[in-house]
Amino acid sequence: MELIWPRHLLANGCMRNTRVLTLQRSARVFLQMLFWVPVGGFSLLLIYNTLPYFSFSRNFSFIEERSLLFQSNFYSACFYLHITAGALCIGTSLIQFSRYILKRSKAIHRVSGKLYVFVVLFIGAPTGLYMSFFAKGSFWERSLFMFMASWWFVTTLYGFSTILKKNVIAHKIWMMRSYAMAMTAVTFRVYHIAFYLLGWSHLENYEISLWISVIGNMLFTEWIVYRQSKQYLSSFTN
Amino acid sequence: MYAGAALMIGASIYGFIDYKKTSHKKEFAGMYKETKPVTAPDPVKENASDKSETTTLETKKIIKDLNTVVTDKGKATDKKTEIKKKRKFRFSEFSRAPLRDEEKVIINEQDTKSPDSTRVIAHKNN
Repeated sequence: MELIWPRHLLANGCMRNTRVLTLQRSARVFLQMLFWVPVGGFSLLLIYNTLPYFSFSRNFSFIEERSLLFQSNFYSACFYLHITAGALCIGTSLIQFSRYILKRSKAIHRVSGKLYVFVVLFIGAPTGLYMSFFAKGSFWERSLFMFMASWWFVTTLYGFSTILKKNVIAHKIWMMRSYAMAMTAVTFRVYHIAFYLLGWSHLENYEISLWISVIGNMLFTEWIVYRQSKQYLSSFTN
Repeated sequence: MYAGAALMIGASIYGFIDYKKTSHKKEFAGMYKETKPVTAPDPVKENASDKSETTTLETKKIIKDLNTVVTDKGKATDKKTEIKKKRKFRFSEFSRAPLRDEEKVIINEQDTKSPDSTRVIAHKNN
């Protein structure tokens, strides 16, 4: 026997269902915007603040503080290469996570992805590793900088090798981890300013901001990976 | 990939050797130490009630100049100069460089015409 629903009930049910779906989609878009707008804004601010360094002037407090190190041409070269690499990485990675761009043109994703990988593997990570020996803070902060450079290199390398093997899921995960390391530059500055406004002293602020930015970014990425799919984890272990 | 790995190994070896060379220098040991407050005796102290501990030499120079100007005119009889520090975020400081406070030089003038006049004379951003 066929059950026939009254038309008005059926219409109401559909409408309610559509409303719920629309609400869910809106909430998802809102949450994404809540994440990407500050990320994009701060990333662009970082790139914008990097540009004055290319005047090669020494009148920056970052350079003045390390005037001894900047006497070495090799350190200076590493610094300028590192900031160039950082700006390029952060700039290109903003495009990489856009589904819209990926759907519209895979070529853009591929070209900017290759640029990101090249810049990290050959410029950003090696210069960062060299500079980490002279970083501010104690032995532990220097070790953390070394770890950051090495982990940035490893995650990018895995991200690249997995896509060559057509393992898209593992590629996404490793690239998220790589991006998390690149974004420590941004999150560090956010914490640094927040703690400064709270009245913390500079060195204490610097060290804590550094630890929170690295550990926080790593944990956040792992949470996203776990949340998105458990299948991601199994593909990563294989 | 191998080239990248070789670069990383090279960077770590060269960095370690360079660090060992540089770490012996005295300047390197004190490179990241925070700037100490100015404790040298200053003639400005007679007129200035310096509230901040880490007043820069430049700010003290500004105060000195201002006091000299005021004294020359002979208007102010009793004046007190204060330096107020303010923690303020500026977009240009979104970097790894140490963040510095904004210093305001305020002169409290007390003369016969206007007993409680307070004015901000100079702003200084480090």
